[in-house]
Amino acid sequence: MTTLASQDLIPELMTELERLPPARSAALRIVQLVDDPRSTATGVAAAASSDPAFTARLLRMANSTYYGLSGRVASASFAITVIGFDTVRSLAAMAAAGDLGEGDLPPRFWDRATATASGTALLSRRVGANVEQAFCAGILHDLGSALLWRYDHDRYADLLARADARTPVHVLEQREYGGTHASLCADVLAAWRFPDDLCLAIARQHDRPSIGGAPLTRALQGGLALAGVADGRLRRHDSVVVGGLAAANVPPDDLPQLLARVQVEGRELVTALQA
Amino acid sequence: MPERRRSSAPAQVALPPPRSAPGWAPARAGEVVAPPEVLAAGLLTWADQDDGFLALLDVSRDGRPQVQWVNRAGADLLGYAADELRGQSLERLLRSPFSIAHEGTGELPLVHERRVVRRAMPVQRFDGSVLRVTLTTVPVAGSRQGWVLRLVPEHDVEAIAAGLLVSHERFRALADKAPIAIFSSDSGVRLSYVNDVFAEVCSESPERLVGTGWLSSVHAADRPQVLDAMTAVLSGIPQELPLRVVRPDGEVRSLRARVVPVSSARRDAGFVGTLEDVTERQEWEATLAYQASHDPLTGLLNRRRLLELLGEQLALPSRDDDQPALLFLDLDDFKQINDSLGHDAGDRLLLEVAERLRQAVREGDVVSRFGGDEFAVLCHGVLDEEAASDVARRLLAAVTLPVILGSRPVHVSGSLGVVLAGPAYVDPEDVLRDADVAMYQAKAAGKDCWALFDEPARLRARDRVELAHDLREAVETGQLSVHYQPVVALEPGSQARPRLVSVEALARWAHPERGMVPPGDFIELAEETGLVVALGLQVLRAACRQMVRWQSSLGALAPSSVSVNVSAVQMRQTDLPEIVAEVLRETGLPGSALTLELTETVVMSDTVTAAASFQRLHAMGVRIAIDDFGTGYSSLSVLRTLPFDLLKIDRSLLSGLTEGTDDPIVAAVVALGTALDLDVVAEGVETPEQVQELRRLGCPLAQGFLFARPMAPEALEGWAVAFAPVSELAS
Repeated sequence: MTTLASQDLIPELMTELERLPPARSAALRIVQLVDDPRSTATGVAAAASSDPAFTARLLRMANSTYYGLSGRVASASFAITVIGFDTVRSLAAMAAAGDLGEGDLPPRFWDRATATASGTALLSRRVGANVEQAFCAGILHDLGSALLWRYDHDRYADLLARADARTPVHVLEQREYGGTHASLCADVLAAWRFPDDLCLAIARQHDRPSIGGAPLTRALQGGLALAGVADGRLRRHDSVVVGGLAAANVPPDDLPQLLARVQVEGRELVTALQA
Repeated sequence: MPERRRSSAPAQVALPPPRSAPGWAPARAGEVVAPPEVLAAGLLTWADQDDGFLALLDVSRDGRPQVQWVNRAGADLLGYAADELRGQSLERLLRSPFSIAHEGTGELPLVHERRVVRRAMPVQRFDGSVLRVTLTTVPVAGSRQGWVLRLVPEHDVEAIAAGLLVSHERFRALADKAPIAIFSSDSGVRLSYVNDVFAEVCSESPERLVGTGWLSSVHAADRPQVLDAMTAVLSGIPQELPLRVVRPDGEVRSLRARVVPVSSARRDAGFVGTLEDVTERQEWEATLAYQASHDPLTGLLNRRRLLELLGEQLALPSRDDDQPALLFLDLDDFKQINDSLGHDAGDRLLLEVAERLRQAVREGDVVSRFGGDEFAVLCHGVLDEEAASDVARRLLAAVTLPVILGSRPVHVSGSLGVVLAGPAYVDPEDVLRDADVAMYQAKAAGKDCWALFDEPARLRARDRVELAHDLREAVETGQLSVHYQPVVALEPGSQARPRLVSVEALARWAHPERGMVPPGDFIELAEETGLVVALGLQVLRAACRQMVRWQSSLGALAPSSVSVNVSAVQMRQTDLPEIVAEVLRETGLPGSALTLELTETVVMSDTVTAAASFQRLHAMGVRIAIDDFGTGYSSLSVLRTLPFDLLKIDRSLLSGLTEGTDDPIVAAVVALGTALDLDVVAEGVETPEQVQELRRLGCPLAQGFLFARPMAPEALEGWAVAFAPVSELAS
């Protein structure tokens, strides 16, 4: 693994992603197929069949408690329609970025992704965002970290170890890479033609939350706050939590119930995503 | 965090290679390939006429893509003349107000050597206005230095989106406030939307219901079916199903869900559904069903429901080991209790009896009230008379305990009819009918007891029905024959052979399977079924015809008259004299050669009609005999009122008649006949002693086995000849 100079990070990473091993290029093909309005669940399922680990993940997801059909989904194509093309594409993007098979991920990566997905989807209705996109934003929001962890492991691991409340990860990233995992993720997703709203929301996840922000951005910021409090990384009175929940129209009274759901659903999803 | 940096994102998209690479038009066998210049000129002409923005790019000396050619529509779109655009660099052409802020962060790659590049971006027109476009650059195959550029403005898309938004808001408002529960999912069973009524039905907040939260509101027992149905919906099959939701306070609501599959724009399998709260309707239907099958006073099943249950059991195959038994109870003297103590007391009594019966039956047995003071109990495992007796005694014992009505004890009893509904029973109404019959038998036997319906009696009844059917066929097809029994003269004081005087015509039925059917059996059947009219006419016609035949074949030896029996039904026909006249005319027999025999009972029932008929028959010369005299209800005055010609003493009166005994009754009847100037015939004469005695009493005529049995016409001819007195034979 080459150590990347900060200025070259993005183009180098993109080149890296283009040289994917076969399994992950199957994932990338799914990313593209799903974008094509002519493709069908059967077609996508056929493309996924060359990647058994990915197909298995789709089936596990579709049969998870989260989707409510526990055990009734037997075919990959039905799984795809059940969990939705958007979510399939998000999972394919994660797979293309290397979360399946070889290579590991930053600590508790999926716990955070699923809790954030659950929280963001839960809050989407309050701000008028599309629930599927909200779920995807949550799943994908940290994909940049996975890429940095994978392609610049030592340096990034060191960076993560140094981060704290005063100088959070994205501040260190900005300082050292000239960009953050959020902007990296947004760029990668834009290149893979994920919708602008989604890329924008992910790019702006660390911005100061604002009621005037785009709906999906507000939902993601709220979802991040919920996930953070739910797993104990953040406290309720942290400004990022207060701001995130306010931007997502969450009155304080609703918080306990929302946290409970995020914890339960997050666990269900993690179980499904990790064999 | 700044706006996502467009400049840093490489816009290449890994699309499949162009199908046409490496040349524009791959030649195939048999195709005419134009020279490249001609092709290029043709394509340019076509592109210039196109309504969309099309341009060709090449590379400037400083290595940047620049406009080499642009079509008219393209120049118009951006507000330039075509000439003004030629040679302009692509960056400059597409410079947008948004990209300025990011200068210095890298250039925006809008072309790729090998790939198609496509992205959405704003461009600035000549007049400064900003236009959002979708840009596509396609590398010219083989050139590495040339691209086709296409820009598609997005205002159309935005206008459609705005229109859709308005439409969406409108339908959303409708759905929100619709009076029926509406729910929908974009993919899977996770609800993305519920309206106010849905939340109300579940008594939950919409937030808790969206996602999969609604499934926890579904009654646990219904959840598997609901999930199966939803799986089917997601596979494209609409579903309609009942389900129950349990509200947080525990209240259960019954709902009817109708769900149709709907694919979202993203091709996910979702659905839209409605819920109808049918709780009240179901309760009402249940109440109606209860009322339709229960007695309102006692709450027992009613007649209709009990017969249904019985019908179901009768329909079960192989009932040998467990036939149902029906016990039909009627309270004795209930009307008196009702009348003397009032209807309230009567109702209380019925309630008490109902409760006692309920207590007295075994589990699985069904007690019902048929209305009034009639109850019926449907039992199992009552296979024989002994078991029936046990149950019947138990029920009667329960009923007969005194009931306290007001301050006084009232003694109650009931009569019970029992039917063991064996395999012969098919219709529950038949079982009930027989139970009713048995109950009346019990009542007739003195109340407070029970009776088992007699199966052999039932079989006999069925046998009679079959026989009646056969008899109808026999009458219709002329299977019946007529036999004749001689009536002979008893010359007073003479020991000579009796002389044939007349014959009695008697119907005989040789059943194809049963053989000869006794006349007593089928005549009675014929009377019950009304067949006797047709039968009587047949006998009358045959007898008259036979008499005419004998008159010519036997001459002086022929009987002087023939008697034909007339039944009550025939007698009631006002046209009997006409029918007789018609037969006489038809056969040519003189009326004086015909005697009609009627029983006492027949004439007694309607003496007025009888008198009129007698008068007309006498006018034809027909004689009338009173048959079976001494057995029925007799009014001696009738003998005076009605002009009989002949009196036939019933065989039963003769049984005590032996030689030397003086039977005053026979003597009186003979004397009565003589006094009234009637011919007298003694029927059923079987012994010479009877003949002696009859002679002594002065009875002129006799008939019986002693002289001859009824016989076929040919046999009678032989008999007449054989028995003829020598003097007559000579003449």
